[in-house]
Amino acid sequence: MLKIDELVKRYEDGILAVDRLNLTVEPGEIFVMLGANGAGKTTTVNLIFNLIQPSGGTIKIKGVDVAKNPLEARKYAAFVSEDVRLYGSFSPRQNLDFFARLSGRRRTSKQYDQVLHEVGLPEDSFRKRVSDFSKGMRQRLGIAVGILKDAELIVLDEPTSGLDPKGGREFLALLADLRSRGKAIFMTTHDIFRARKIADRVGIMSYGRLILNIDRSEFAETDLEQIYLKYIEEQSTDVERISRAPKLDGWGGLSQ
Amino acid sequence: MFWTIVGKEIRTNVVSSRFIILSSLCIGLFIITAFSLFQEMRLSHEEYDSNVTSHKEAVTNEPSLVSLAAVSGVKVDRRPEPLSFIAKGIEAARSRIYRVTSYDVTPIGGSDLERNPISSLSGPLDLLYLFQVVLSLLAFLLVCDALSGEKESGTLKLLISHNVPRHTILLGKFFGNYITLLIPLLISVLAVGVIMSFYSFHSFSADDWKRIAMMLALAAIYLAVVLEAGLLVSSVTKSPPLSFLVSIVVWVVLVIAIPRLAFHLGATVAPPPSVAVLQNRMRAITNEADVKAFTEIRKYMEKNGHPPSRQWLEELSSRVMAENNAKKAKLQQEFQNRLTRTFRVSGILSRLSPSASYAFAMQGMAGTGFNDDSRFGRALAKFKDRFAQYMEMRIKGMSSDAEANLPQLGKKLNLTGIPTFNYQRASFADAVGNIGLDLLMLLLFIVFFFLAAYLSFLRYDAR
Repeated sequence: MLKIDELVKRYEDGILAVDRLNLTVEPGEIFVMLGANGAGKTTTVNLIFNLIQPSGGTIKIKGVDVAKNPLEARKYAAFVSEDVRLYGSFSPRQNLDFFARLSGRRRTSKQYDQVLHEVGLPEDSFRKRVSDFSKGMRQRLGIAVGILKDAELIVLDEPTSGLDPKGGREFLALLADLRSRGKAIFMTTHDIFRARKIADRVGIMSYGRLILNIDRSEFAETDLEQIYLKYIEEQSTDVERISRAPKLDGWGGLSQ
Repeated sequence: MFWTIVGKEIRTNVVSSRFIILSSLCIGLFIITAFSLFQEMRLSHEEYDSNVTSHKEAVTNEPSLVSLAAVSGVKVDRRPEPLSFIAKGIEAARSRIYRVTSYDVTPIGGSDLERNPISSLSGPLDLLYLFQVVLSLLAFLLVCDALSGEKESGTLKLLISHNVPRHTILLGKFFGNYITLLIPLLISVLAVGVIMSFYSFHSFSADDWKRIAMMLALAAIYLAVVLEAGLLVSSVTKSPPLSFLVSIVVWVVLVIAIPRLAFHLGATVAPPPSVAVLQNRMRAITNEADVKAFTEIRKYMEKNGHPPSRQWLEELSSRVMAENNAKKAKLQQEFQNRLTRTFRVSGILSRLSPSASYAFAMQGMAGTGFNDDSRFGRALAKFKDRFAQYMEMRIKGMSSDAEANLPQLGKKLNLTGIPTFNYQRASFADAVGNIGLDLLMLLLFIVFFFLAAYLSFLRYDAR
């Protein structure tokens, strides 16, 4: 569903944000990208939606090249961002209706309510103005907007950052449900604990490079937290050291 | 997709406190201004009617035809343009009463600024000011963060991820905000109309209504220009506070600074002629003519030893008056040419701002623009010629000098057939033709600002 080949993004100021990134996310798979701030996760998301132009490489969504045909490619992808405020003067239903109309999938109020229930918003909030919502509630609504698009690929950028433990648990259940419906899910996060619970595959990004890309069978038996922390610490030194880092035993080695 | 965005813009705007406060302020200002304007219009029209009657009466009470022709003349009242409450234009500074003699035309005062000196402290009041300044500010403030606000709230990224092309976002925002702005505009216009119905200073003709409709269309076009400029600001700024700041600066430059400074700059580059100097030179020409006539009479008497015959005097009078009129006409033409040059230079400079083009077009439709003023001046000059011809004919036709010159005590002058001054403003079609350049400028501004906003938005970082 999502195929990234040799993706490179170098900004005008010379910073290399994404360096030869290769990955694939299949239908019914959850890929979680971990990484420190500035590792290149959000840049990757922006490249997936062609909000910025790549310096090299290709991204294909359902076989459509994003850079060449962004409007066609975006049809197959939904986006949930870290801190979307949506339209504050609208109710959740009105927000859903607006975005559903944009994607040509207008539903009934009942169906909107159903999606809002799915993401765990309390019923008494359905008619309230979104400007009165907490960050967590807005986050859930953002997810509802993404779900409603009914796209085959769902891209989530730090979606769990505003969720409390209960909300987080419900969110994971929601992702599992979407996976069971055959959706391909690409998620970036700092939250290694939730990543471990839900991911089918985990990648660690550092200085624009995907330095680790392992599946559930591999990370289930390893101390993912320790590896992650090690690379977060490494990032605070310099990229040369990371590129020269030794392969760790036991889980398939590092992707350079 | 397009109408979904238009609908969203309208719904988010109309419930926003910013829109409610600014619209209420705008409508309130229109209402207060309308009361004040219509009161002023009523007084102006009453004063005009009263002046016309008393000036007509004064003419017949003149003691002699010669004093009427040469000294007192007839008083011409400049009728307040019925649509000057919308755009006062040059009318505010112009004399309301002119003295027309066989020799010249002299403004003798009664301008709005003279009648109400306090208005010179704040500038003349009209609805154009509200359209030009208040509504444009409302438009700028409404749209200044249309794109940067969406970027900040993360919804711009979401819109793009929902496959909405950028031109659809931009057009949707433009039309959504435009329709929103029409709400306070229409309410204000409606309120002004209701207030106007209480003040019967003039019964509007079909031509007036056509002009009013055209002025509303111009206001709608101007709002579109300002909105496009606001969208351009929003598409080059990344955060709402910055958008707000840049919008205020752009608004001040476009709406306040350029139109005002351009006229001062124009007057520096091509200085306008002085009315006082013109009047002094006119008086000098009249004195010169008098001296010349007396000199010739004295020479005749010295040579012949008796006063000249009536026929000789009439011939002398005709010759001296023709020379006098030719000199004055030339002087008037020079004055008008210099004034036109100043106006043209100022006009070219000020048209860098859509606000100035809009003001010129509105004044042109209201009949209070520079072209209308020149037209009035020409009509007055023609009237002076007709008056001079009439007086010459009447004086020649008198049975004796005494009848023409001596006061006719207790007897009113018979002025049958005396020409009357009837000024007709330009026809609607001519007025539209006269504002063609400004209309074109406004349309070009729409295209320019939209293209600039579109090109800028294509490069806009939506992250």
